[in-house]
Amino acid sequence: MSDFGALNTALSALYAHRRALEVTGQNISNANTDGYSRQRVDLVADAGPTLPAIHSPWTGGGQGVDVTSVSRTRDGFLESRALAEHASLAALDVEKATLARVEEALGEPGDSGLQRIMDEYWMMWEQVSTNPDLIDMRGSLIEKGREVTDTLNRAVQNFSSIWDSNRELLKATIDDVNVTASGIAQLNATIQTAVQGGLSPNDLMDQRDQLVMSIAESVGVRVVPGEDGVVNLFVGGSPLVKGKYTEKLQVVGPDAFGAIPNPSVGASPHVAVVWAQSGRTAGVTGGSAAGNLSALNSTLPTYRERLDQVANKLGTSVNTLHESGYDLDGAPGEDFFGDSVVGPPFFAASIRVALTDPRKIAASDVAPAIDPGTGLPVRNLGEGNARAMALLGNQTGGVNHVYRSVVADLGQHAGAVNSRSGFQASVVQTLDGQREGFSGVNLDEEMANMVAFQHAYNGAARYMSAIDEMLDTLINRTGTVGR
Amino acid sequence: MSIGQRVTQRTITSSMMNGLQANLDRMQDLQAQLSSGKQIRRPSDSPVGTVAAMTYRSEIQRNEQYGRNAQDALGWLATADSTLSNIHKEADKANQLLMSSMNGALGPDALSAIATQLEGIRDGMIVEANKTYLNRPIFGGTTTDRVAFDATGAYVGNSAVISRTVGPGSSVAISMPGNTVFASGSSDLFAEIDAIVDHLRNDPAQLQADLGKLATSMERIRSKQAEIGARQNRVETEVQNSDDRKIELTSGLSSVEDIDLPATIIQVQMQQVAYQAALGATAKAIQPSLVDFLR
Repeated sequence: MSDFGALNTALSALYAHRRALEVTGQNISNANTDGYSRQRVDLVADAGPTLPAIHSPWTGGGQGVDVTSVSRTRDGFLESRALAEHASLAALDVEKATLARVEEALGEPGDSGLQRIMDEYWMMWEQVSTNPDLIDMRGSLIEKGREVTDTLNRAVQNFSSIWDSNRELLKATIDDVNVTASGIAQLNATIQTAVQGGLSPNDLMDQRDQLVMSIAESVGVRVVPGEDGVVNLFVGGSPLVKGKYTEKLQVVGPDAFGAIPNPSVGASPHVAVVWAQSGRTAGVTGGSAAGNLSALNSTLPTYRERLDQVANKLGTSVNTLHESGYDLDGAPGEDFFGDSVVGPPFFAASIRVALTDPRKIAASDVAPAIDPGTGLPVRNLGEGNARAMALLGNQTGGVNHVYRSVVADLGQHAGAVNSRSGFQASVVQTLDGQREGFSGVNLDEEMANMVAFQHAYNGAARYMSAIDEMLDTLINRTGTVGR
Repeated sequence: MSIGQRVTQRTITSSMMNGLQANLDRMQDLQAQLSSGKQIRRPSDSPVGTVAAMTYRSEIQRNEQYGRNAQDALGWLATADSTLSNIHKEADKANQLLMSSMNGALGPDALSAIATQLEGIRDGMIVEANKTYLNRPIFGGTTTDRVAFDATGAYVGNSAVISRTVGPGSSVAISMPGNTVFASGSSDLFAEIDAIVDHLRNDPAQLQADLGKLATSMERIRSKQAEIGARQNRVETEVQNSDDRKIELTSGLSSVEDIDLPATIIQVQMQQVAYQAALGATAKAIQPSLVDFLR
C-alpha cells in the first residue's frame, strides 16, 4: 500500500461515518412519522485487491470502509400478515356497523319497537271486545293497526337507507382504490428508476407501503415484490397494479334496495365489484369493500326477509280469524290487512290496513240469525272473535314468537360479529406493535449509534492527521542531513 | 444474546394509548349503563335477555288488560246481582200478596185490587229485567236493542253469552240471557204473574197451583244469583292473581333489563381507580431517554 493510500483509507472512514450520522439524523427526525421504517447504513470493509500479482504483490491490509447501501429495516413476513389482518378487520368493522344500524332500526327492547306497538294492537282488540258497540273504539283499533303496519314499513325503509349509504360507501371506496392504485404505480416507476440508478429510495418505499396498506384495508390485496424495488398488487388473483400499470375496478349492480331479491328467492341481481375493462367479477374477499358487499347482498336482504315473514304471519293469521267473525251489521268479516303490491303474501315494506269502515271490524263470533221477514241478518254485539284476536299474537308460533325469534337471531348475529371484530382488533393491535417494534426508531439506540459514529469519525480524522504528520516527516525532514 | 421483542418509544406510547383507550371504553360502557339504568340497550348486548325482556313487557301489558277486563266483568256481574235481588224482592212481594189473597176472606173487589197491584209489580220487574250496563241490556244476550223484554214480558234478546278474558287461559261469562233466568221450559215468571192476575179476577181456584209455579221461578232466580256470586268470586280471585302477577312480572323484567345499581356504581369507581393508575404509570414511563444523560 502506498503511503498516500492511507489517506484514502481515512477519507473513506470520514465519508462513511458522516453518511451514518446523516442516516441517524434522518431516523431521529422521523421517530414519530407514520409508516417510517428506520434505516441503516450497510458498511463493508474494503479488503483491497485479492488477485495475486507476481511483480507487484499487495502487501497492505484493507483499504478502508465502503457504504454499500442504506437499507430499510422491515420484516416482510410481518408486513404481509398485517395486510391480511387489517383487511379482515376492515371487513368486520363494516359488518359490525351495519348490524348495529339494523339493531337501531328495530329499536328493541324498548317502548318504541314493533313488539310494543303489536302488543297495543292486540290490547285494542280486547278493548273492542268489551265495548263492541262503540264505533270510536273500533276506529282506534284501525288506527292501531295502521301504526303496526307503519312500524313495519318504516323498519324496511330504514333498512333501505342503510343499504343506500353502504352502496355509496362501496362506490367511494372503489373510486379511492383506483386513485391509490395509480399513485402506487407512479411511485413504482420512480422507485424503479432510482434503484436502477443505484440509489436507495427508502422514503418513497415507505410512502408506497402506506398506500398499499390503505388498499388492503379497502379491498384486501396480495403483494408480490417485483424487480428493481417495484411491487405488484393482486386482487382475487388478478393484477391491480403491475409495475407502473394499473387496472381499474368498478361497482356494478342495482342501486336500489328494492331490486335486491330476498335470499330465499334468488341470488341475483346483486351488487358486485368488477374489473372495468373485462367486466369480470373481482374476487374481493377482504377489506371494507367485502364488508359492504356482504351487507348489501346478504345481511340487509336477510333481515328484510325475516320482517316479511313477520308481516306475512300477521296478515294471514289476523285475516283468517277476522274472516271467521261477523261485523257490526252481521256480515262476515273481510280482510283486515292488505298489501299495496299484491297480497297475500304480505311484505313488511308494503303491508297496510285494508279495512277503513270501523263497522266492518268482525268482533262477533255469533252467527247472526236471519230475519225471516226481510231475509237480512240480525246484527248482534258478540265479542268472542275480538277476544280470540287479542290472544292470537301470543299463541305458539304466532306473530309475537316469529318476531322475537328475528330479534334473538339478530342479537346473536351482531354479538358474534362484535366479538369477532374485538378479537381481530386485538390481533391487529399486537401485530402493529410488533411491526412498530421491528421497524420503529428507538431514540436510545440512535443516541448510542450517534456517539459511536461520532467517535469513529473523530478517530478517522485523527488517523488522517497521523498520516499527515508521517508524510510531513517524510517530505520535510528526510534528505536534509548535513544541511 | 437473544432479544425478545424490540421496543421503541412509539411502541411504548401506542401500547399505553391502547391501554388507556380500553380503560376509557369500559368506563363509557359502565357510564352508559348507569345513566340509562339498563344493562340491555340493544339485542346484541344479550340476545336471550332481549327476548325475555320483550316477553315480560308483553305479559305486563296483557296483565294490565286482564285487570281492566276483570273490572268490566265485575261491573256487569254486580249489576246483574243487584238486579236479580231486586226482582227476587218483587217476586217475594207478589208471593205474599198471593198468599194473602188465598185466605178466602177477600171479596172479588179486594182480589181485583190485588190483581192491579200485581200488574204494577210485573211492570216493575220488566223494567228491572231491562236494566242496562253501558247502555246494553244485561239480560239481552248480544242484542243490539236497548231492551231484553218488551212491554208484554216477551223475550226479544238472543241466547248468546258475553264473556271476558280475565286471566291467562281464563274467561268468565258475564251475562245470562234473560230467557234462561226468568223462564225455563214451561215456567215463565212474567207469564205466571199475568196468569195470577187473570186467576185473581176470574178463577181463584187456580191460585194454589200458581203459588207453586211462582216458588219454582223464585228458586231459579236465587240459584242464578248464587251462580253470579260464584262468578264474582272467581273474577275477584283473578284480580288478586293479576296484582300478584304484576309484581312478579315487573320484578322479572327489572332483573333481566335493569342494572344492579350498587354493583354498577362500585364497578364505575373501580374503573376510575384503574384509569387513574394507568394515567400515572403512563406519565412516569414516557419520561426519560438516553438524551437526558448524554453531554
